[in-house]
Amino acid sequence: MGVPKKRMSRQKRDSRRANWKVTAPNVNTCTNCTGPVLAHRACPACGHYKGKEVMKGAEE
Amino acid sequence: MSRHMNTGRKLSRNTSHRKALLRNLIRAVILEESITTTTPKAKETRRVVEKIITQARVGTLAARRHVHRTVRDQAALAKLFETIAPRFKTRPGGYTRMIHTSNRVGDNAPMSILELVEKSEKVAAEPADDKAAKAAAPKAEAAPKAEKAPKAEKAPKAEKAPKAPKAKKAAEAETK
Repeated sequence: MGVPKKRMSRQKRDSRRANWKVTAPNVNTCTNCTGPVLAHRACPACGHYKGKEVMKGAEE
Repeated sequence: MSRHMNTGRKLSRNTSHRKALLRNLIRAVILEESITTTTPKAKETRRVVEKIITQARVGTLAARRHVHRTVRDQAALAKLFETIAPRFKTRPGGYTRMIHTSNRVGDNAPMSILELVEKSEKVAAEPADDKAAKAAAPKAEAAPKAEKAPKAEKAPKAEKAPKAPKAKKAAEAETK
């Protein structure tokens, strides 16, 4: 099995990690309560999806 | 070994555990008509439920015995053949619907509602319960039935937790 010959410097290691970035989720607006909602998911606040109430939300 | 052509999820279970789990989930879908579970479990359940309903639509004794291999519960089997199958008589497949919901609190597992497309009037009147949402606002619930259930469950649990250590301490004090 291939094994690293030398310890990698901090600079080399951190330079690689400098490109690891978090991306914000793409948040849409609920058509029922105008709250934030993820795409293709029922609204956690009002429980609506595609204009229908599919579950009980937190704010009901 | 490559897993070419192998379909289906293992759901981190051995064969017997997985089969039992799926049977339970299938039974729940038939009896409750709408269940909340993790997305992979819902997808696996959907595969089987669709096939079972198609079989149930045939309605013969042979079909019934065939379905009985997976649906062992007599009540569920009867409901499947007598109320669910006629409901979907004209629908060419696609009897179930999946609605994705927020990830589960605790392990961030993707959750979904798996439900029959055409539900009985009783079930259709009440939207599916989301347990996480219930816990957040049990007082605000509209339906009285749904309201009582979680409270009754919570009350004894909350009481037991603090009492148990006290009882132990008391027992220790006595022995000393």
